[in-house]
Amino acid sequence: MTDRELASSGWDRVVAGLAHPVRGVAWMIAIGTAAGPIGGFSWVVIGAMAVVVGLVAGEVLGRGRVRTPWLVGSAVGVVLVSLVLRWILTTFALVPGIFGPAFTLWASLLLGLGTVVAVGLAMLRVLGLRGPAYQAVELFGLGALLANAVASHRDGSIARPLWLSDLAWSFGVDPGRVLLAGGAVLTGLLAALLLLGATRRKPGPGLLALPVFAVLAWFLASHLPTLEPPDPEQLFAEAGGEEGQGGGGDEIGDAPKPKPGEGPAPKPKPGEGPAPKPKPGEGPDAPKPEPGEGPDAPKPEPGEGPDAPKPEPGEGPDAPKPEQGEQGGQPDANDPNGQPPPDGDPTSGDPTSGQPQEGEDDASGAKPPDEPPDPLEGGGGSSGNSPVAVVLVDDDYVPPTGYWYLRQGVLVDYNGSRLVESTLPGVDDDILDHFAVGVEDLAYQAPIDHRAVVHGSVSLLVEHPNPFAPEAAVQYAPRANPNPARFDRSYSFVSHALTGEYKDFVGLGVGDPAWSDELRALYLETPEDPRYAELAEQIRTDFLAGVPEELHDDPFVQAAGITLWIGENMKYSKKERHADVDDPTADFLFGNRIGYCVHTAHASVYLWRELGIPARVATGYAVEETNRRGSTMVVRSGDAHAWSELYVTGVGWVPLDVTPAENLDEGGQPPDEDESQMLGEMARHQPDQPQGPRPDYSWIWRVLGYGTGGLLSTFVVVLLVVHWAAKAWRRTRPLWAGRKALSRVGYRAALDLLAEAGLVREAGETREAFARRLSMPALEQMTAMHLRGALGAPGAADEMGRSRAEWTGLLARLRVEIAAARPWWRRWLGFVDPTSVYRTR
Amino acid sequence: MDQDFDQSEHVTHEKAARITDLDGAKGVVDRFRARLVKSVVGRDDVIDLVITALLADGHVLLEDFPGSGKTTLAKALGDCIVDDMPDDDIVTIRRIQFTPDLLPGDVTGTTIFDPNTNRFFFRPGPIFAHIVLADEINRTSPKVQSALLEAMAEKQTTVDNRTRKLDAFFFVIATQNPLDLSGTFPLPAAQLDRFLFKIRMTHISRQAELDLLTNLKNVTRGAASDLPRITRTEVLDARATLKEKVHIAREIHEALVDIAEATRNNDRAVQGVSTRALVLMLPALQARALAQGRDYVSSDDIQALAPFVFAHRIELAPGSGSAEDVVAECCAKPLESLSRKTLKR
Repeated sequence: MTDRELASSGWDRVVAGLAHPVRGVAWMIAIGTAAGPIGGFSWVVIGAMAVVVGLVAGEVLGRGRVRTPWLVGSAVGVVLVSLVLRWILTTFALVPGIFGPAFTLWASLLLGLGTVVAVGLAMLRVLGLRGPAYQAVELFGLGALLANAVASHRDGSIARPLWLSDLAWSFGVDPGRVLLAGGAVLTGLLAALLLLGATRRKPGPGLLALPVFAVLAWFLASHLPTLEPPDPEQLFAEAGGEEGQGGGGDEIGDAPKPKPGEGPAPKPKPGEGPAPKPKPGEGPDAPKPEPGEGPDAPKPEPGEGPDAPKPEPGEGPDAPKPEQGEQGGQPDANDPNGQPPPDGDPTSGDPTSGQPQEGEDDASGAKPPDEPPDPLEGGGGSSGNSPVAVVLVDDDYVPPTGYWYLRQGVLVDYNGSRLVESTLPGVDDDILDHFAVGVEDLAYQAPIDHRAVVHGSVSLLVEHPNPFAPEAAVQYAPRANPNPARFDRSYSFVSHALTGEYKDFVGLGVGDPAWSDELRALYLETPEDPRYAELAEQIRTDFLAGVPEELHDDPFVQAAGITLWIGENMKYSKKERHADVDDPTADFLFGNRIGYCVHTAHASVYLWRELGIPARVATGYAVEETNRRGSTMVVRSGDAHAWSELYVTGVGWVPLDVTPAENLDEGGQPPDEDESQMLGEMARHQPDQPQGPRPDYSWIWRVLGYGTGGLLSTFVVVLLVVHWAAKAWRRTRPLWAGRKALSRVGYRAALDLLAEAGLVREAGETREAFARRLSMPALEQMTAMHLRGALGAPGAADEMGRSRAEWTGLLARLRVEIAAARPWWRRWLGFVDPTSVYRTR
Repeated sequence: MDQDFDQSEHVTHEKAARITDLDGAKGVVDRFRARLVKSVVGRDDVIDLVITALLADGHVLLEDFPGSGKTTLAKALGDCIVDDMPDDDIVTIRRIQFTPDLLPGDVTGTTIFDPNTNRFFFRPGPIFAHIVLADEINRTSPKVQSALLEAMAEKQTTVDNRTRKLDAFFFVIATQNPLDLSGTFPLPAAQLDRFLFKIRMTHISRQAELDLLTNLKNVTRGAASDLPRITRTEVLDARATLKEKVHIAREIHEALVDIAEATRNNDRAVQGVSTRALVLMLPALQARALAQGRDYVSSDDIQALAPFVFAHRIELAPGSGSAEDVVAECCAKPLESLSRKTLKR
């Protein structure tokens, strides 16, 4: 009779029986996570069934008498036959014709996935039963499958498995925690399998180690930095960064460098996270693939240039990183500012003012209030695909130009080099320079003519200094953050969005009669450079030549003419920044005519103003309508833009934008639809009270987390204390036990002492034989006394317990004998070992 | 053979003090062992078993090769005994060498016509002795074996339709050669069952053999001759006393029943241990406990004796290995649980 059989009684057998369900659950999880993403629900169901069938078959066959080679051979045969059947099933139309496609689908699944899984598992079990070493193969397969399922989540990427991270996010939980928990459970299962599979030892006490593992896992989970919630901006930025290199490498390089230190970077560790998100090659290109296409632009006004609306094409190309974008932008900005930045490079450039800061700001995209243009351009230039915000539009509205202009800032005041924000009251009243804390109406309410009321909300993924919304916003209000772990903040807006097409604005005139002279002068302020006026006059003359007579005096037609001219005559490139001149716009317009949105916007505005048309540059984001998905619009850093606006009487500020006819930069790659969808879902998630502070459910997880951890810790501590208390009780019992019990507890104390020192009676060894083997006189005497008390005549126990002193003396002698036989460290190890009593028998 | 003995040493008319307690009984065991150990070198385990069987009122079957000391052991045993009832015509030891042509009368004795008295009188055979050494018992015909069977089972023998009582001491040591089986009559199961122990002896150790050769002179001269002997009555008293005084706990009974159950359910055994075996086992356990100086039977006794008591009583399925292994296997679980029981209560 083997040890195993001896041990397999009662509780031990129950514990050993747990191995089957544990193994089944582990395999179902493994197969489910592996097959689920591929085939969905039906694969998971088939997989689970196959696991059960395979394990049962494996257990039965493994204990049977069929020889292993035959089993393996027939397993291969079964798989081959079923695969052939499946091929027949799916290749010829006959079967689906008779039984229908649903049956065929399930049958082919059964034959393929089901058979492979079931037969494979059965073979693993057979091998595992017959050669314990093969269990390693099984455990390895199990671990590998599960690791594979979560591998794409490594490095903190939120990406995959998407169904899991979506689910987790929707509950406000970091998917990392979920995966860690899954890993912990799995580790536990594997450990349990190993323990249960250890046939040589009693599994019972071994299982006590599991809670200890669990506590360790919990401490790891709660104290290691891995759990940092992934920071979208950082992740995206990094991703972009890498990609960007290709595109704007050099320039970018300079510009951004300085900043890193200063850290526009809102979120913590930029460096750490490996950039997860990356769609590899994309970097360089802009999101919009069709830079060149501009021409067909959506809504082309009759007069207008073909491209008017497409601002971005150009931008897209490079700079994934916001920062990079900036560079592009910055320089310009600087130049305009009049800061004569030595070089285009912001870095080296001006230590002073704008550059560095701007650069930084830009990085984030639209943030920089100061230099709106930069962001735009930067963004544009960078093309970065990093989402910076999610816009949810509640009303049915389609912008006639094909672009959603999300206005964040406006540049009106000419400072001698470029346009900057005006300090004059009443000028920028259609933007808000702070986030509304309550419902806040803007001072300037755009007229309702040619406009539609649009409601919606914006959830910022990246910190911004002030809100933006589809033009023209009339009201902002705070909104509960749908997911604090992901979003920086969220707010709702009401806009009077433009519905009129450009042709509707012909004949309406420009400017607002209510403007003060001062204000009107501000909107018409131009550089002193006379070339602007000459060029404007020339363009007007040329353009009007092809326009019906009656429209010659219309300012909107003239404005469109200038815009079209710019679109036709400039080349788009983010790389050309016109950074080191006093007037970058002049350098652009009268130079090589290579530049990007900031330059074109400035040029348009200057030329318009020369013709007496009130105009300004607006900054923010321009998102192509085709990138909207239902009510969801993901704004990316690449969407940052600057555009020119003119004031149409009775309509308000109307963006009139142009896309250069020629793009010198490369195009970008389309955004990640999965990601957009996920972000939309997240932004849409709202607690029950829409306007109130979002109820914080995270306490549930905290309680569960700490509760579980605390519970486990407590459990372990209690377990230890109980064991030690039991040891102490058994150790001291001979000192105060009753006479009848003394021969029993005294001997038990002796056995405990021996067990601590690692001296244990073997299974099947009689007590006398054990005592003889150790040849410890005190033990032999106690053994005799104990057995006489237990098996002797009635009254013997009483007699054996008559002398407590004898027992304590014997125990003391036994200690001496043990000390002579075993090293001190072994005894101390046993002394603190809470489980030593389990070896007493 | 009895000529070898100086009868005067083995006969006494004085009655020794009656033995009524375990100390006295233990004294009997000790005296036996002391003498036997002196006379038979390197057979301590067999000596213990033989003493145990003697005190348990059972018989012993030794399975051994010629020249391994069986006869020496039997003679030494006989030499230990003092007959304190010399008038009953029963001597201390007889040896019967079994051969195929032996007749039952040669064993039991026979009636003989006495011309002087003109009457038949019964002349006792060698079976009328305290200790009978039945050498090569499997070489004789079943007829003779069955004559011995009655004597062993009932301590009586029937000759000419007249049943005669044997002495209460009656103790048989039978031997058989395990190898040289041609022309033998293997003992049937029923007869094997009469033996309390079947002891498979092995060659003695090298050291013991060396000692034997070195001290051969002393040994053959009877080194134990000056050690105290044991009277027949003392042995009978010891038997009675240990049955009375050595306690058998209920747990022991349970373990025995469990073991029997296990042998009956074991796949390798066609037939398990009989209830009679358990009954015979009890005094053997008591005797061993006494020999170990205990007044209670312990699991150690069961483990020590089970192979010798049970192994020849179970019938193995073909190709099932050795009976001792089966017995050990069947004992393991009941004994382990018996050991564990003592710590709980």
